[in-house]
Amino acid sequence: MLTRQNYYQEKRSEIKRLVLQILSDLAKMTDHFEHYLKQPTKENKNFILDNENYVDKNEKRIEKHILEIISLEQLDTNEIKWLLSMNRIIRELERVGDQLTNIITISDVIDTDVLRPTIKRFFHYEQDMIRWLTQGIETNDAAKLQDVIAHDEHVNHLNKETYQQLVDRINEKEELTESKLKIVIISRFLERIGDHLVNAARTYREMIEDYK
Amino acid sequence: MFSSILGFFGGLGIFLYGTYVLSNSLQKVGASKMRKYLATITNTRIRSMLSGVAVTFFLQSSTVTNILVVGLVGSSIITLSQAFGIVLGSAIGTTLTVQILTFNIAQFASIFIFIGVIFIMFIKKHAWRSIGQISLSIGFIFFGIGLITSSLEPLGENEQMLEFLAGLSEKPIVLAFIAMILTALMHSSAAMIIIGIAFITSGVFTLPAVLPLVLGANAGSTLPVVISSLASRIEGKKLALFYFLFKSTGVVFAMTLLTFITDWVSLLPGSPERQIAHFHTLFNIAIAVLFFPLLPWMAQLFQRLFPHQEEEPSFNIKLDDNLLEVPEEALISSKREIIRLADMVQKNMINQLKSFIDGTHSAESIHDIEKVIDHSYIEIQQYLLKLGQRDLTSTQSNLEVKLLNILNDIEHIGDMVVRFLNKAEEIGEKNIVLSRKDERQLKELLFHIEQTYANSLTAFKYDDRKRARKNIQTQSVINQFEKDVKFEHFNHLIDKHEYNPNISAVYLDIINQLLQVYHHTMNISRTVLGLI
Repeated sequence: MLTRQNYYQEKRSEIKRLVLQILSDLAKMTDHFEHYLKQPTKENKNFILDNENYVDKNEKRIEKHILEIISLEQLDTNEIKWLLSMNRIIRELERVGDQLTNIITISDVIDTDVLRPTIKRFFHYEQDMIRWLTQGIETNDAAKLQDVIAHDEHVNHLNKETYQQLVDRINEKEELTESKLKIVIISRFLERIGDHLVNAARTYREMIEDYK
Repeated sequence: MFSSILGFFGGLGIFLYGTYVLSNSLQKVGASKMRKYLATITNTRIRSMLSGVAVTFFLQSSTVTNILVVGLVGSSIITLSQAFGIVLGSAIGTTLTVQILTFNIAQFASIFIFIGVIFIMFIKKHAWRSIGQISLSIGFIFFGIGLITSSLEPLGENEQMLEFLAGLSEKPIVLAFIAMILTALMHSSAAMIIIGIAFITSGVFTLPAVLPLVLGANAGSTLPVVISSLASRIEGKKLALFYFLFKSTGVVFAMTLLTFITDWVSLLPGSPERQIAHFHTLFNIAIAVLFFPLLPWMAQLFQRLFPHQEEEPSFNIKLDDNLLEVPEEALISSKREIIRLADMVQKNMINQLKSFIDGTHSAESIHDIEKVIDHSYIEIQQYLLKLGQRDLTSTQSNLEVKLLNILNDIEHIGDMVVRFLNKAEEIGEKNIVLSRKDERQLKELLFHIEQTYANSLTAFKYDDRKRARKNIQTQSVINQFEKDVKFEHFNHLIDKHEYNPNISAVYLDIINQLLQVYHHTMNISRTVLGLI
């Protein structure tokens, strides 16, 4: 019996591999973040920024693959939907990378000791979300993707809590440092990370369901 | 006695099967790499000889090495003199296997068989399964040797048999002749020499008696090569004749000096079994050294004996069934023939369509080309289907699928062109006059077809995926062109108040046939890219 290697299938697998690679880079960035907050050295900062560069590069590579596939083959609706979903997912993931670098840019000048506990609490949930999203995409597991979506509730709650703490401080006329004010902005970035992960999970879950 | 004979044949069978599977497995793993290695490293005679030793030892088959060399000479990648160097080296390479087999290796057979079975049965990864197959075949070879040796031992106690064999050992020429015939039948000189060594181990033969057997095995190994070359290409014939000449010259020379050689071999180190293996290696090194300085001269002589044949005026497919033994080479050969066919279609069919429209080229000659395409298509397809029945690697299988697809597209192009000719001839028959614009657009479409075909063919020749991709991405231009041509044609008819349905039917039929040609031409690029 003859066997064949189809170019479209090769490209499709490559796209999925690159999406998983982006997720792996994002996981590395969040893992390293705590290390960076403990020791905000140039090397630690560069490690995170380098990973963000990989995310951007892989996003562009995926876009290129998608464009190429569309220009070569007349695809059926499901396949087009798969490609569009992947395109949407990488945009969401690229924004996660952006938000992480935004936090670095802001936290550059403030006391990381103040920031560390907040980020740690957010990452406690978001690292799980990245892991489940990876598993969900890798094995087309809708349940794992649903876990990501459900977990967003905790992230939103944390964000609200951070706001409330600031409001309480204002009400109690406590001294507000620059660091404490910036936590609110960072909290917003962290909350957005959760939203992007949820959007990615939702897009992939819908795509799996349509494929069935 | 009866059980000894059964054991002997069983052992021989297992040994031969082991060598067959081992060579096939190694070929699958390394034939492609070895071909590239031979093509790049054999720039001097000495290097070609050494690479012949290495490649043959790695592939465990001088036949496979020779087939690779035939392909390389046929593609003018190496010279005949270098090819002869590789053949000399391959003769030495096969003796290294016998060297290994004369050690007491039968005791390790079970380990190799066990490892092989574990890898094949319990590991899913293809690479490990291949290693398992290699291990299992080595185990079979070792086990076969053990069985041959143990089954011959009782013969040493059978007086009648000893008497018969003693008589035979006094007739070295007869013994050499028998060994030659048996080697040719078994397609394995190693098997014959291993039997000779087993005779020594079991005390049936002495060392001097086995030497003619080794020489006969060396001569016998050339016979299958010579016989199979009768149906092969000219390069195959040259190499087979050279192989036969240098081996048989050496054998005749050694047979005349047998008395001196016998005294000299007994001085070699090791047991009599090892001495036989040393003799086999040294004999092949000696004839290689003897012929090595003569290689350029011999290459010239062979060029004169087999002069380069001018390309025949009629197109004939040149595919060699012997190459099917080495799928890598058979695929290269098939691709070369499909390219030749595609080149011919480009030159004599596609590029002549404009001249046909202008009335300067006859339809008849293009019809003749279509017959050649049909005939060649059947021949190449049959060859590829035969090849598909072999155990191909996934890369080879993928290439075969691509070749079958491209061949099919070329055949369809021929059919579509003929239909186009038939439709175009209706223009004259029905006294239809096409407008200047229609004629111009027809020629523009032909230009696109020529371009696309040329790009697809180049992409196929050089496996140029980038060019194939670019070619496919131009398709939207033609899709729009098709719509524009039809739209403008209808508008023109309305403009001229022309209501003759024949004009439209014939013109649009012509355009549609050409678009079919275009689509099949584009399919070639798709296949090259891997959209299969």
